Amino acid sequence: MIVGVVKETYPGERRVALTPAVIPNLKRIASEVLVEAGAGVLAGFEDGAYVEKGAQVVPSRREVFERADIIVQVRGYGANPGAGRADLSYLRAGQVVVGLLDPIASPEAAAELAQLGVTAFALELLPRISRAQPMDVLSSQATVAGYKAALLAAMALPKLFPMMITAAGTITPAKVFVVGVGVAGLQAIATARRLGAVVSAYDVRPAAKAEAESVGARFIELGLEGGDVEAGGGYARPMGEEFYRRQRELLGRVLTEQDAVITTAMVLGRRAPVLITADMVRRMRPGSVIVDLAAERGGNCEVTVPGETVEVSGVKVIGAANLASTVPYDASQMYARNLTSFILHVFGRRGEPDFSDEITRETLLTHRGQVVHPRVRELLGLPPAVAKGVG
Amino acid sequence: MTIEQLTQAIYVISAALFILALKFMSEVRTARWGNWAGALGMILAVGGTLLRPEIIDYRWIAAAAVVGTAIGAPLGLLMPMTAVPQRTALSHAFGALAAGLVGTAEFYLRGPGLDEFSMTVLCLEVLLGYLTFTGSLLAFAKLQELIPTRPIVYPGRNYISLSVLGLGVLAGAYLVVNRGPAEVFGVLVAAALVFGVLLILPIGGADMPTVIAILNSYAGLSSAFMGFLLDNRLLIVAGALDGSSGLILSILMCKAMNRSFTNVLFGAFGQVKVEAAEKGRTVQAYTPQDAAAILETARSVIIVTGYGMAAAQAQHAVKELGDLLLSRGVDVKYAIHPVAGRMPGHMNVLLAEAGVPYDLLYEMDQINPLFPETDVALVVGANDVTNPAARTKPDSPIYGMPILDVDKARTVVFIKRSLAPGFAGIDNELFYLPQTMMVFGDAKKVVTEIIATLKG
Amino acid sequence: MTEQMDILANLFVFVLASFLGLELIRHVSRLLHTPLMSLTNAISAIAIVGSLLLAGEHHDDLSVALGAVAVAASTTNIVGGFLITERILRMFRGRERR
Repeated sequence: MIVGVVKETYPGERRVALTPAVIPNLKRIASEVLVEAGAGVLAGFEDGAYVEKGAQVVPSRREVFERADIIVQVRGYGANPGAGRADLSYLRAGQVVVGLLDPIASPEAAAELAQLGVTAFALELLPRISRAQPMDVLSSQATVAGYKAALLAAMALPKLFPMMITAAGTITPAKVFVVGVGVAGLQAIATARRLGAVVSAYDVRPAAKAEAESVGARFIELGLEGGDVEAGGGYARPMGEEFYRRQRELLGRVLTEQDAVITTAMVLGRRAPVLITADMVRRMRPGSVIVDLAAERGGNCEVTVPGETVEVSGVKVIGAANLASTVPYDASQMYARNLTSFILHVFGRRGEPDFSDEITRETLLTHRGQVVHPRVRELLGLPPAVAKGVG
Repeated sequence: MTIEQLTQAIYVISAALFILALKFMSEVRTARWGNWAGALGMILAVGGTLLRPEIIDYRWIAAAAVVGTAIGAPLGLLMPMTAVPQRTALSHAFGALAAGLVGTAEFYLRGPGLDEFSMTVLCLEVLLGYLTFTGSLLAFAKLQELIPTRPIVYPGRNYISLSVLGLGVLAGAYLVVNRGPAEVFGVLVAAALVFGVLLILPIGGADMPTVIAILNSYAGLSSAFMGFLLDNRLLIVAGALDGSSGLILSILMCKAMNRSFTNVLFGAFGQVKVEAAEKGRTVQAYTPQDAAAILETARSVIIVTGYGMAAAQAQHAVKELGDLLLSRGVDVKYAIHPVAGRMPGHMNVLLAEAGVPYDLLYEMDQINPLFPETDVALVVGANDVTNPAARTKPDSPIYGMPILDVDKARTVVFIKRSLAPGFAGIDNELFYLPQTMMVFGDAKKVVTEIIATLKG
Repeated sequence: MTEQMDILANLFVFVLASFLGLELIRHVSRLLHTPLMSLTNAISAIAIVGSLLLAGEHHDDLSVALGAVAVAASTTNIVGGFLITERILRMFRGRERR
């Protein structure tokens, strides 16, 4: 079985799906690991390092696709709609593709892959169970993003983060507010705390209070009726418009006291909820900063422009995009480890996936010409697949 | 000083030593001195007695002592450590037999001449002595599984037992009034022997250690009564010490095993309750003071932290404990499981905030080989990542997940708020292992208490 | 009269010693339950005092025989009891402080 990794083509993407460190482990089941020349350069991994660990560097992208049985990427076709199209012509029936494929937001991409007869595994679909934790790319990449978001906030803020009592006067600590206490939010809280800020946090999910406090943040209660907000896997369920209106009103007051706000609220498969309106931004202190991690999904802030920094009434709104890619060395290391764990799990036994296994089954997006994942089929308007369709 | 006075002086010292023995034994730090004090007290008691002028013939004593040692030494040395309760029961049987025999002989020698009080205490001594003798033998047999360990019940057992006891009491009363005849004494002895058996039969193996403590109490009382009979204050003191401490100990043991004392004791007279200790599984709950006692004698400790520490924000207390142990020459390492906490690196951030240096932090693959050599694994709020079910139970939701091999350490001290399941929602097999000491409470509070105990 | 006072004095001692035993053991740590049980078992062999007197006073054959058996039994209790306790306590031994 031959595994191949290619250079990422998504604009600005600097991560690479495999790093030299995981090659020996992968070679336990892969007879050969092919690496497109220069694939890891932007992440800090030279071709020579791959060769040292037993991989084969191949000069042309096409050759990787031609020879490999399993293609691994960070951003597969669904997550890389523009430039990713070019790869479609290289894919062949029966080939396996593993990576982030954004199936819920881009189900048509899944359909296209299915038509090519590709067996695709979308890592976003991994079930959130204990056994799958070593393979959880969403968590590992969100960790990096959360960390980076705190750094961006610290860099953009005209103030210092920590408290300092000095001969030149006392510097009061910055007040940082994190909205959304998932993995990214938690890491943002932790990083902001390491830098010395006073951190508070908010999340609609009641379970988040203990978690926020466990990394040292003060949890802000808005007193909204919780109801059934948990959607599982750390996501919140989309709530009604009235709920969001109340939430904005109460949040607005909190925001006026903050120096930096980091928003990480996302809802699976849909546009991110708008928690901060332009009006709320205008009422914030001039000089304060908003880092919107949900920018690529529409943004938690009304004025967010993905990939750009916008200024409204003296408030900087940073549309953070692809933050994990800005720390590509370690983000790739973690991604590669997650990916390798996944591949060893799915293909480890006899090279043939065991579709009765929960992890293998739930991550499978397309197989033998069909889109097999039930949720994606639903989004495409297809009837449920025949039960015995796979394996 | 006359011999008499010397003997009495020796007796006083002996009694003091027995009291000291119990005092020393009540704290882990001094426990080992307790045994020495007790042994010394016993040697003095024997020595002082042998000095007395009443004793004219030492030959039989010497021979008997040799025989006794020949039986007692293997009993003490060759026993496997898991057989402590049954060996104690057997040892008991011997001691109680001695008390009964002395009472019997006294009856023969002085029976008709005794006043009412002396006859009363003699009867009590004989009653308690013989019933403890057979009771202890039966307890031994049950624990050693020579007879079935389950409670043996039969209809009307309450009446039968009470009748037998009543018979013995009646015989005793008769003897007190009439000082004889010998046949009635025989009835008393027989009733005591039988009652001892009936008392123990309906009690289940799991409750035996508690019952042994009570039998201890009875044997002690028997010796105390012997003391009244022979006007020997040493016997009274030692016997009373045993009597009361045996009773308290059995109550404490009941509480520790979550059993009702009256249930165990009067299980002989009441309904046989389904023994939770035999059917269900119990955890061994200890106090922070117990944990401190164990940590005090440890040479190597691995601290395993988890979400519980984060939730309690106990990282500073944990660091303080780690530092305290380090300052005492203990080898301290911190083990961090890859998925401990609620976010990647959760433990790192907290321990860094507390100032734990990186070189004390170990990841799973580095530290797992070290657990078997470690005296104490201190688990602070980690749960699923220590659950051996991941290795042993194929149908467990966490099966196959690599865990920290905490169960391989010599002792596990597990700090947790309650028995509630963790993230994976399942029971942790680690709790029920014999080497695990559960300490329930908030992580910060418990660790702080441990620190205070170690320092104070 | 003196006999009664003797009895009362003995009773006094009994009651005192009982309360003492109670106080000493009330708060003992769970760790020590087992060695304590074993130690008090050894102490209850104090009956040897009566046995020694019986065997040594040599009133008649029966009493000597009973006494001898009692001495043997008590000795078993003593030797076994203290040895068992010692072995239990060995498990508590910590590292030697240098």
